[in-house]
Amino acid sequence: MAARLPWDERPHEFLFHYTYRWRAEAISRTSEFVVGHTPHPRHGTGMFATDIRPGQLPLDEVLRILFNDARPAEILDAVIVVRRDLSVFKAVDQNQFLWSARPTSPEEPGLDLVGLMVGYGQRGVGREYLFPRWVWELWPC
Amino acid sequence: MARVPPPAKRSTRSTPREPRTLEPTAPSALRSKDETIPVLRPDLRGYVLEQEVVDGFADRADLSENQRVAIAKLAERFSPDGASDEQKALLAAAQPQPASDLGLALAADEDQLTEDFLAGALADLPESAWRVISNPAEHGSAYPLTSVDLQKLTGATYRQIRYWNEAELLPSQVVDGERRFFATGLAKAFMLFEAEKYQVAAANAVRHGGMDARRVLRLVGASLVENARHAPGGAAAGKLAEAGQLLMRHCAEIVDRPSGKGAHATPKRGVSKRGASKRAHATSSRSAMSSAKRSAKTIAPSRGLSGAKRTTPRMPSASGTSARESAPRSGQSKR
Repeated sequence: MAARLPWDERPHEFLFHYTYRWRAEAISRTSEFVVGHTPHPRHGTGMFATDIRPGQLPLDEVLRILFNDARPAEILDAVIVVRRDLSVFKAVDQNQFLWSARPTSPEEPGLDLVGLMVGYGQRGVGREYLFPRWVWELWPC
Repeated sequence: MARVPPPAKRSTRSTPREPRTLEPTAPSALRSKDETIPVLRPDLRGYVLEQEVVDGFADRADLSENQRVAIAKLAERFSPDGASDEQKALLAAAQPQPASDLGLALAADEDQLTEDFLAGALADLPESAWRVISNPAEHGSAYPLTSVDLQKLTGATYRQIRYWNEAELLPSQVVDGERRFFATGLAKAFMLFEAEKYQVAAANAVRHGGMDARRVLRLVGASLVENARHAPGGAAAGKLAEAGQLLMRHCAEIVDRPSGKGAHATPKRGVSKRGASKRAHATSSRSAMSSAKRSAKTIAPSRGLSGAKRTTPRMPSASGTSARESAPRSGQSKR
């Protein structure tokens, strides 16, 4: 098994969406991101992602940078990994990228992550992020 | 005297540690009927479907149409040969599917959780409760939660859950035609379970508007103004006083929403509208008051038999049965 994760090896190729465990499970299962109705005060609605890798900084610091401490740190336990496709994700702030989209309504699909999402992880007992075995095994290191 | 044997020598050579991985058998925090869509591999040379690692993007007739369409999309973008003719036909015929009920409910709940968290409504939740909210699977449940799940996870009784539910104190979402609870509902259930019965009755009164609600808000407003008067001063004290005054001045606008049970009653036949309105208001106020008093009597008390206030949440153990955990630190703030 590789000793490093793909995003540790080539950090410029990936972005990360930090979220709750149950929401990440839904996103990873359906490859769809349903956009909520609460807009970011400056950037509006859509899917936010960051180039801060899991474990790169203490989670408290990540939350401060990304959410201005507006999310409960205790339950922000999961991460969705996407390709850093800058035709979709635009830089909106330092370390922050946004796939801008209006809120999803019942009649329309959410954002299609097929071809963008490449992994999913969650924090384990030791609070570090765990990824499926295949993520480690696939990367040619 | 027996000799103590020297400690065994340990090898100083370090062996590379196997990375800890996410086990596919780990219980899921989500109960979903949505089918799994293939995920692109990080090396872009294939996909992963239900832990099965596949090289390339060839079409597979054994999969569902949605899964085949996803593979066709991947082939179009990442296969050196592009999508096959069959895959191109699949993509041409594919219709965009509306977001699932579950996806919409999860997004709406996340909005609400953020709003409540920012407002400070969840500030007193102990860490043990947050752990359950984060992963109810560790206690044998998964989102979306039923009322029975809420009972199991919080330790509340069936009557309590039903009362909170009917009083609209538990936020819920509709999934596939059924009312279900998510993280915000679970967090609120933990808070209500910890609250004294009179506190829940007051929240119920405020929720339903009418004279009782206005009275509660005026009392709270007056207390805020009084607290501000005795506060050390500064901007916070001024804002506190202002909030109290606003609460008292605008309490009717705040609580008397159109759908409020206590706020609007249907005029009785043969009575003038003005008179009916007054009478309906008085009746509804009495009814809301008696309802609040009744509910204060009937909901399961949060005091034990000794009458001492219970300060520790009842939390489910790993086996799913209730067990108490340590109390939250006094004045603990979650952020």
